[in-house]
Amino acid sequence: MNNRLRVLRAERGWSQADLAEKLEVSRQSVNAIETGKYDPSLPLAFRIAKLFGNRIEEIFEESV
Amino acid sequence: MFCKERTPAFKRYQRRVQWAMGAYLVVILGAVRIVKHDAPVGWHLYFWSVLPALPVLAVIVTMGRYLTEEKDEYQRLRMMQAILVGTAALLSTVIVNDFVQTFAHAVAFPPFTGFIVFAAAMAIVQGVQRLRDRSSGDE
Repeated sequence: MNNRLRVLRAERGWSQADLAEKLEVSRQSVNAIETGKYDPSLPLAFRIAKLFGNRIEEIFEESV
Repeated sequence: MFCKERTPAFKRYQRRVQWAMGAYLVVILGAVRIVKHDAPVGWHLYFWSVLPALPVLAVIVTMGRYLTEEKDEYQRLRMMQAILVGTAALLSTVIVNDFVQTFAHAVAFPPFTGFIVFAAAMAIVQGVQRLRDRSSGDE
């Protein structure tokens, strides 16, 4: 699954640690999601979408 | 702060493991001394034989508690992967040991080999996980 997490984070000038703190997850989790190593669960994806004020499908998309 | 390397659940896990290992050290030293010098027999001997295993069992229970307490799903997945590989290594060791004993009448692996293999496999997986984090643009 591809995602725009790194772009959205950079637009706000947040570090991975900043985003991790806002999402209440570890920095490794943010890194793993950004690099596509880990696809978050639906509840975490909703938390990410809510934080950035987007819909889930605007952040995550199926890799073709 | 939550974003530090170690989550609150992992800190609790580490603290519990340290307590269990401390207890293990005390118990194993006591058990060795008593079995060696007092030469207990019967249920006394069984008692002192089983006692050092209890802190090790506590570590296994602590792993289970960590998995239920960890709120960070990625960290939980990493621990589950490490435990799974450790368990696979442990079972493989036991199976190989049993077959070579059965068919080749070989001497059994030394005591505690299984748990050492389990712990070593877990440590290797966790090391690889950390290396993968570093090599993937970790900021």
